[in-house]
Amino acid sequence: MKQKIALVLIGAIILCFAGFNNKFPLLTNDTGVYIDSGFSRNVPFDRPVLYGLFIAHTSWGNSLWLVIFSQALILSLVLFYCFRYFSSSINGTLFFLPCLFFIAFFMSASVTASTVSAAVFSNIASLCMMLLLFAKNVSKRDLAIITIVFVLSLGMDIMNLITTFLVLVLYTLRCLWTKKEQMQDPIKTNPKQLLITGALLLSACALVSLIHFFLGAGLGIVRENKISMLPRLLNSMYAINKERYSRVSGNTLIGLCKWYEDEVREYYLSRQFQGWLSLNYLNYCKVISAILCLGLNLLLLLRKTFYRQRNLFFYIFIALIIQILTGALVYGRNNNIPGHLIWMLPIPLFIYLSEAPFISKWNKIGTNKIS
Amino acid sequence: MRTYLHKIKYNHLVAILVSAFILCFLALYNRYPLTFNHDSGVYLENGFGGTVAYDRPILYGLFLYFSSLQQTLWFSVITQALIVSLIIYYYFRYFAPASNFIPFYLGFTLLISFFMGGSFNVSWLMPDVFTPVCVLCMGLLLANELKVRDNIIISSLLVLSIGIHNSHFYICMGLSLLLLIGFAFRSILKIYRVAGVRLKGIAFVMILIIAGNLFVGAVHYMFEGRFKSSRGGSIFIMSNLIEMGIIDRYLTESCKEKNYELCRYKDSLPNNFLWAENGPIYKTGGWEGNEKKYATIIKDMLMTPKYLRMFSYKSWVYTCKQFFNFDIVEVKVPSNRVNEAIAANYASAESLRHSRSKQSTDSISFGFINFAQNIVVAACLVIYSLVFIFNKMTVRYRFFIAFILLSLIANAWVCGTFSGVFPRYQIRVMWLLPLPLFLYLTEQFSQILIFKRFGTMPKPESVRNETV
Repeated sequence: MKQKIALVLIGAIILCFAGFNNKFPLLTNDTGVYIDSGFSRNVPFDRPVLYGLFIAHTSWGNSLWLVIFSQALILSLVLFYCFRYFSSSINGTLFFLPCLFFIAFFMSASVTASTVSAAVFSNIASLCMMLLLFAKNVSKRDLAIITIVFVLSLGMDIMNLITTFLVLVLYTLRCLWTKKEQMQDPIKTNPKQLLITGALLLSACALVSLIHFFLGAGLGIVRENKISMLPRLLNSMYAINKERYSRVSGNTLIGLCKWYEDEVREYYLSRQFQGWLSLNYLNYCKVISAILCLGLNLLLLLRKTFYRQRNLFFYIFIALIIQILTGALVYGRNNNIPGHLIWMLPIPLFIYLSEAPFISKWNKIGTNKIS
Repeated sequence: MRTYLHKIKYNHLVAILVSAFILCFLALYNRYPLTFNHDSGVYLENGFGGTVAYDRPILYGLFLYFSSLQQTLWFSVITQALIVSLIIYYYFRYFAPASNFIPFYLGFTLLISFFMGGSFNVSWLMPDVFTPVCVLCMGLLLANELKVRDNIIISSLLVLSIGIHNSHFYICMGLSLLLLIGFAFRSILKIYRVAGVRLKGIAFVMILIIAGNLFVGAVHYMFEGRFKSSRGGSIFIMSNLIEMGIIDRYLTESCKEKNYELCRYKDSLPNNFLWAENGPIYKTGGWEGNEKKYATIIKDMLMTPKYLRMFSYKSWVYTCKQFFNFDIVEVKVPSNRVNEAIAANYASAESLRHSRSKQSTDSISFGFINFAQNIVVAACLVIYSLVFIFNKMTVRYRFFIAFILLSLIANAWVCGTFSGVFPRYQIRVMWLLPLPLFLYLTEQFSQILIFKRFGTMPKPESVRNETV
């Protein structure tokens, strides 16, 4: 138990690397709106209030560091569950930290987790959905945690609701069209799991609507249902590019000065504010890593030996495609690649590696306890 | 036999020289030693003028004065490289006693020079290079039976490096105290016993640390007539408390009752508190005039539980921030003060060489090293986490890894909490991280070689000790 807690905590610290390196949690132009909505309890006209409330509560009204640490902790925990439930090896969790290392330092997981933005909950929602759809023999405690995290992360952003809905529709259709005897994968979904996930999606919608209702904004997921609001929302949330992390808008600064006065000096000294934040190498590395992961996954799929994690790869790939398609449909050619989601591609590969035979030798190497 | 031993000695000497040459890589690439802001100039001024500045010890200035032979600063960089190279050599010699450690030793030097900040620190005219030296010297003195000659060299280097920068005393003393506290716990005592750490060793190291502090005090006395080792501590802490945002709140509340001079500036405290020319420090008596006043404010503030709590939380956050801030970003075009100091104290050819360096022409970039270093550091941290969580490697190595990690944390805590979060504070020690891994690999490799030669797998020395 202690080992597992230590793994999850170390994972969370690794995921906060980009924040520590920036000397302050990364902010976006939307951060101010979230902060303000969380404290003033005013529901923004174009997005749910849930992430604002999350900021207000996890920061204890005191420090944004606690927000990114909470985000990182949740992400680390969910990722840990993925290794626990999808790896058939007893040493499955051994590859949890190397995987975190890869997605944090070669891809954008750390940047996403260290940003005060609801984007990280798109990842968390996708991973939770993966667990809900495919994981078997989940303990009651873990199921309760996954369920709560899933519902909350769905409610953080309407994009999560749309993506989850579309993925769910796709898998339901697949389930209806595929005959039972054809579904022989050890990691597969079933109608019961689809139903539970669907019910949780509805619960998330209901939860967000109710919160909005109690805050006096009427019953609805967003105040303004006009689709014209989506492009701005998509653009501001999904691009991990220089513009996004250059100096933030006045709104964010006002929010910071108003609610986190003690941390304003710290923000002024951050690399982001000073204009020193450079993500060029990381972006380059991320693209190469994504291509390599796709290539490796395809190679494994083409191999004659069975690739147990293939359904996980398909799921992540489909979720990614849906995000891109939704973004492209709504926003046209200016839509950026959803960089915050692409780092999930290597996860099935690392789970596959954790089952490799050489891992069992690890236990035999130089274990030393003092008697 | 004698010829064989001579050959080995000769090989080792060549390895140390080659390693020193590799460590000078960035200075060679830059075409001249790297300098920092005004600071390198200030050290040169202090060393050549024999003046003791209020905010730093004179010792590094004197080091530059003597090691450069008043001819060229290349000699200083070479001296720094030789010192670092020698200390690393000692580690491989004492931790991995096999004779075939040279490839690993050079491999480690290559890694820290090309993919981490090792070469940067050696090539930089800043006392930061002595931080890893004092940490490494401590490690050697704590857990190894050294030859008398080596003991003298390492002890002298520890004394010198303690006095060379204000922070070294606190980092090393903090580390020693932490190790000392370990003796109170039976489980840690067992680890100490296996790792070869003795109370006598810690006591000896502590004596050397105090000697280092006294030594710099004596040097200051020689030049200035005042026996004081480090000064300006409360000014540095005050500056950081302003950055943390604690002082703003404290002054807003306490200025109603107390009449501090700083209260007049409570609404206009600059972020660049230490060096702002029109800031409160210089308007109200400078560093010397304000040290006691600020010490009073800090004491009063930290005695209030509310602010102590805030300070503790911020200290924790700043330690984490400092720990993960280790890239090379503070190399800008040299300031006039550096140019003038070089022009005033060296021949004109030296100034010309300096002005033609990549740094002077603003054509040097460290993007790749920074990125590579992130990856090496993260990989080491992941490996060490797995080693501790799954109880791998021998106890001796686990202790050494813990020692290195503790020294990095102590460095991050002292600098982040009492001075501010600056990448240069952490890059100076971050390259120590892969050292335990290289030593372990050296030992494993030598075992495999013995196995291939004799057909039996000997227990490594560290394991043999554990079974005793």
